[in-house]
Amino acid sequence: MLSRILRRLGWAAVVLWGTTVITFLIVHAVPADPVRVYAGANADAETIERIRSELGFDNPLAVQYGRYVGNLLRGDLGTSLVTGERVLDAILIRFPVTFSLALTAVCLWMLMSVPLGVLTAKYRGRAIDRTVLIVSLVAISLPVFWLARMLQYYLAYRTGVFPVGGFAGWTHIILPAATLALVITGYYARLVHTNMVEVLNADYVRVARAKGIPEYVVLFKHGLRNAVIPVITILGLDMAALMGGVVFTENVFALPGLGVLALQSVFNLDVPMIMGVVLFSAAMVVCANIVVDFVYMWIDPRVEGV
Amino acid sequence: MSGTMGGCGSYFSARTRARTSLVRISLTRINLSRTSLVRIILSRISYACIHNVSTMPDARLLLLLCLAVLFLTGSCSPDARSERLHPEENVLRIAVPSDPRSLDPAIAYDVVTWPLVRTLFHGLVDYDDDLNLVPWHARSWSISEDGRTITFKLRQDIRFSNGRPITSEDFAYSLERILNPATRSPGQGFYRNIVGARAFQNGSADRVSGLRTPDLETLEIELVHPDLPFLYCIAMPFAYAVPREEVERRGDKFGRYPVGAGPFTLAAWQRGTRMRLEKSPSYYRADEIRLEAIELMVGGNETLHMMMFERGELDIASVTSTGIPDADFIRVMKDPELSKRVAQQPLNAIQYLSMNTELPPFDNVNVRRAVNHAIDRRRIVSLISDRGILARGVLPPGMPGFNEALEGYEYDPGKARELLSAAGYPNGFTTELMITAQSGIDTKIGQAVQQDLAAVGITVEIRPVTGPTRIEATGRRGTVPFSTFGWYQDYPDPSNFLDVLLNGDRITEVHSTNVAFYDNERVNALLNEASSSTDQARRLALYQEAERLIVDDAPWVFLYYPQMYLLRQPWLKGLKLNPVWPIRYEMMWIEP
Repeated sequence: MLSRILRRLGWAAVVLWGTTVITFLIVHAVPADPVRVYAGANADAETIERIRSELGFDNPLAVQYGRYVGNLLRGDLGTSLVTGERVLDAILIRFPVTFSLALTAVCLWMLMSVPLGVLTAKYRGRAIDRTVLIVSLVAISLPVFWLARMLQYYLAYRTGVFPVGGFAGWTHIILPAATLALVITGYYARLVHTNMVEVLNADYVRVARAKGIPEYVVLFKHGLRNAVIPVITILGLDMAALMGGVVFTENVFALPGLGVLALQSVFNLDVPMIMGVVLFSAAMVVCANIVVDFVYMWIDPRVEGV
Repeated sequence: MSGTMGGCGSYFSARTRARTSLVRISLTRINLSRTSLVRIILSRISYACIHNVSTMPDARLLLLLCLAVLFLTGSCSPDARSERLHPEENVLRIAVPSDPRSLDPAIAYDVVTWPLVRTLFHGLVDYDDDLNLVPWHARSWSISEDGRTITFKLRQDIRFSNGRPITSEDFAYSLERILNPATRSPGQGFYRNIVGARAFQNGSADRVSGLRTPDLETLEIELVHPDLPFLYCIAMPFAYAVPREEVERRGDKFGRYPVGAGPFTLAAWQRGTRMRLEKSPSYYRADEIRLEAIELMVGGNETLHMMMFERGELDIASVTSTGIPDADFIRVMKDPELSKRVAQQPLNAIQYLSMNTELPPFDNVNVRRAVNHAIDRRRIVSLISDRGILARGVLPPGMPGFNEALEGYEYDPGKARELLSAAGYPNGFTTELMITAQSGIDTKIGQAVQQDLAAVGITVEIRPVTGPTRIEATGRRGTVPFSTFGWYQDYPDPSNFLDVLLNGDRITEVHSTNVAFYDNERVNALLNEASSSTDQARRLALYQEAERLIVDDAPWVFLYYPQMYLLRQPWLKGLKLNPVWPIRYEMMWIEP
């Protein structure tokens, strides 16, 4: 078991190192000059060159990369060219917002999708099943930014039930989380549905019913518990992906999370910040993968580790 | 309604059918108010829920529920429009799209941050509304006979917000700090004319020898060559006074924890979320400042800010140069209430297309003139809802030296075709126009130019790139033939447009600000003579002559001079726009 953990961690380190190389190359392959962005469009050539040498951007790429990795190993992700913030601080300040958004969204969509999935599996082929299927398909196909704007317009701007945007407390999280949840619920409802249908056809469920166990116990104790295991796996990975920042939702609602940070740093060509955000998101996905793998092994002993 | 339910019909009981048709009847025959309709729908749903507990939920009910929600939201209008939705009374509430990069005056360099820096710091000289320089921290100043030495006499009654009195040494230190390479100030280029600046920058001198402080109230600045606009550089926020002890204490973080002598101090700054400036009790004219605080929301785009403004959550719709979002502009201007609260200011700025005079076919002056004649500026300005003044030359109307007699180029496709033939391109040619992808204005300009030039046989391919890529590529010699551009003044002097953008002596291989790579010896000589002349009338005459030659050579398509529009709430007073400082928060107050 220990060697398995070590092997997984080793591979994680390799993946993250690969991420730094690829991001570094991409950022420097962009035909634009971060120093020029820093100095402003009105700066003259001499000013730009002086600032370049102060920032160390006049060194060969290999030297810059070596310095970057060296700092990284000491836990220093660098300083933003644009805001002068330390990159790690910037990420850690914004992480709680993204985390609470992701967590609220996950809770909302699980609360909606699990009952819908169970219900549609129970009444398979009936009107409720078809309606949920149609609504799910529509919801999955909705562009997030459009839905976000609609919710913002009707539920915040027109009625004032929720804040239009910004961040000053938990009420600001609800609409963005609902946007995400509405889009994703359909997908999870189908996921739960498919697994449930399979489980409800299993022999042990038939036995349970034959023994006269009440239907809700059959559904929730025998059925759902088994049907939800694969859903949890996917949920872990989705949650990790959300951690990397929910770019559209955060931007529409002006939530100060990682998605906004990522977008702004790309627009500003803020090299250290782009590197930091990408690395952080990659680390999130890698961690979630490891955690999900081990949790899965623990839940279901039949699964062998890689 | 039932038609839409089609295939599901068999699932409905007769009872449900009856109920739905009841709703249909009430919809068509009785003229109901929305609220009562919603009430009926809701009662149908609750009836169904109570009486049908054992049967499966009804799809038609779901639809009804959706309808109910739609009617409910539709029937509520944003009635908060005329009320201020902000708990604090005399606090100005605004929003900016992203964090200012720094509040350090040596670093900040954009139109959103400068008005904030002005509220925190204090400078030697300032502008009045007619763009004259007026005493501020300096009681007076004098310029030596040869135009190379400027002597400022300073007020003695002003303190930093940490309590220490400000002396001439603080201003000398602040200027030296801009030139210090370690500060990485984007403004350093404005102050290299000070004697000893280069030696200091190269590390061969410890001090800038041209900055002298004979006593605590006198600051002398000696220049390498006479430079009238240098006083404007002193009025730029870069040169505002910073306290050495705080800068040394904070190091690189001074921009996050700024200490100055302005009417406000920074009370809070949560990156990416909010910033709060509070009135400084130690400000020497504190009784003139009527706002208690300025609360900034950080984040969101102009559309979101407009919604918040209309809900009464913001006091100014947008403080960026956009002012009022494109999508809302016409509605706002047609609204009798809102349009009364629009403030308008022509900016000392120009929107233009740069043609690279070193690259064919734009190396031919007739081609450049033809392009100028072929483009319908009037249509471009109408595409941006008339938020601009047609340009006939380089200098905007608010700029000293603006030449009303310049004729520019009339829209005349026939003449454009003739000029193209004369230039040897009777069938036109193909070129590429680089625009900024995120800019809506650039996209509109690009499409209009594409259509106009197609009419005279020139095929234009639009190449959208990010802002940073465009700036990098266009500044590189021999790279980009044709590109959109905007220029906003650093200070109100013709040199800031003509010298920086069109002086051939300023061409560099990379990072050139002369993006047309326009090099006319006669123009260069006129510009160089003007920049070292100390006679303002003579300077302006020289600049006008240079501009006339430039317009004739047509290195640019002179499009329009943008105007700024700000939309304020009725309770916000004291908003007076200024071409140099569009927004001056320190003059505003709230009056419910």
